[in-house]
Amino acid sequence: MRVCVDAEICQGHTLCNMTDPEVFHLHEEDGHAYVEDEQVPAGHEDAVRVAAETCPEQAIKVEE
Amino acid sequence: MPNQTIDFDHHSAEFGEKSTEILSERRGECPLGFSKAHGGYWSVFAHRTGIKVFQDAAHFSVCKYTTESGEVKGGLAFPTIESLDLIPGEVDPPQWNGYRKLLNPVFSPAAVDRLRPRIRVLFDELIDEFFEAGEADLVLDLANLGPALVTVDFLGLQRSDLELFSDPFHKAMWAPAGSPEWGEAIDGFARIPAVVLETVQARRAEPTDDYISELVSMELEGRKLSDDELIKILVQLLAGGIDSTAALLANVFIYLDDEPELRTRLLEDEKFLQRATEEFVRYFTPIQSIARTSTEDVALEEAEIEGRQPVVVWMASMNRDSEVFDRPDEVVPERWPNRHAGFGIGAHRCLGSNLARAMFQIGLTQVLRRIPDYRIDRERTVPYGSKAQVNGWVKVPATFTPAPRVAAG
Repeated sequence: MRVCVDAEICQGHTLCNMTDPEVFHLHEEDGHAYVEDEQVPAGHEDAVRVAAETCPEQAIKVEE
Repeated sequence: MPNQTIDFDHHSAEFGEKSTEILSERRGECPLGFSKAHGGYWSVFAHRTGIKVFQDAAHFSVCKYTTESGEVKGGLAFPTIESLDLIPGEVDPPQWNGYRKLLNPVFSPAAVDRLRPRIRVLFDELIDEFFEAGEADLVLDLANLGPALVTVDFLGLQRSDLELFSDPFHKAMWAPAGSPEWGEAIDGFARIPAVVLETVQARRAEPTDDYISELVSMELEGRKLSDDELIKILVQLLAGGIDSTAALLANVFIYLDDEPELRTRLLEDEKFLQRATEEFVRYFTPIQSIARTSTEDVALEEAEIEGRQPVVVWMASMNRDSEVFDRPDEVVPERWPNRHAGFGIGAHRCLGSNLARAMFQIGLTQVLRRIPDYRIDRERTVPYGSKAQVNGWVKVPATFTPAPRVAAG
């Protein structure tokens, strides 16, 4: 599974980081989210799907 | 449903009493509708439609503007509050980008984490004032003061001016538009810029370690901010910091009145507290609505909105939309995912949302730790008479077993 955060759409709600802080990191300067590695680590697939669903802006793109 | 006309007036006494029911009925009829009150305006009720408006800054502006006859219209409140000008809240992209980039760092999760110890000290000071009495008003003595105190403290404004800043923001939210109290609040807004400007000038001459000192030295596109910009930014930070978090705390204090197990769980499980916070923001939606103005004729769902029409987006309605939320009218503290719109959506997502969460969580947990057996005197609680913008409480009296002092000495 692959995941990315569209920086143009993300507004820094931080709900993805609340869902899975190991996959979704927040920029120090504005709290906007990013992933370090688009490849989702094993065992985090469900959390990533939930994060995509809870994003108020729908900025998270998941490829199954 | 082309241009559906609805019977709706968010400043009516009836709406003040039954806003949740009225919003639910309207949402059931149409995603958005036009009512003739206050010169005519659109109201958006459906979650998906609200998101379309919030994410389309080109068609739905936050800016104030002056009509040919010299009337000031637009902005975040409808009807317009002329004496309250906000940066970046009432600035559209692209100018918005520069301001927001300037202000974002101090409200980031990392920066807010560094403020947490100070927030706790300020809330404890307030609780110290009443904990020995065995009774307090959790709004007048705590919820109204805590977030305002944190805001004034971190900005570097005078604590002795706290009421001058906070009073109009509370009053303008609970009083119906056009009432005498609303008029007092509007006059109160007009007094704030001069007081704020004094501190701005003092910090420019002699900087300290407060945020106003930081703001006066910041550069936007190679220039310093003007007095006018600084005033509008500071009024924005006061407007954001004062009434909304107070309203959330008040609602949750009341909700937890008869929930001893939930109180314990909120104290013991941080992740649960984090998710419950989002659910409380969804369910109570402290900021009920925010206005936009259409920039030109625009189609939205089945409706044709003409240019320069007020469009009020109801987060309070979006957050109860059954297309998005199961059991929308219940508090489900562990609800997740929780795609609520309580902090707004799009470019103008609440700048202070991370600070608001921290103030709420610290204020709540300090109350639960220090007066764990508090009970609300439900007969004497007074809700806001207006639910046009904020879902808050004027008075929430409580009693409890006097608890030990936290501060040394």
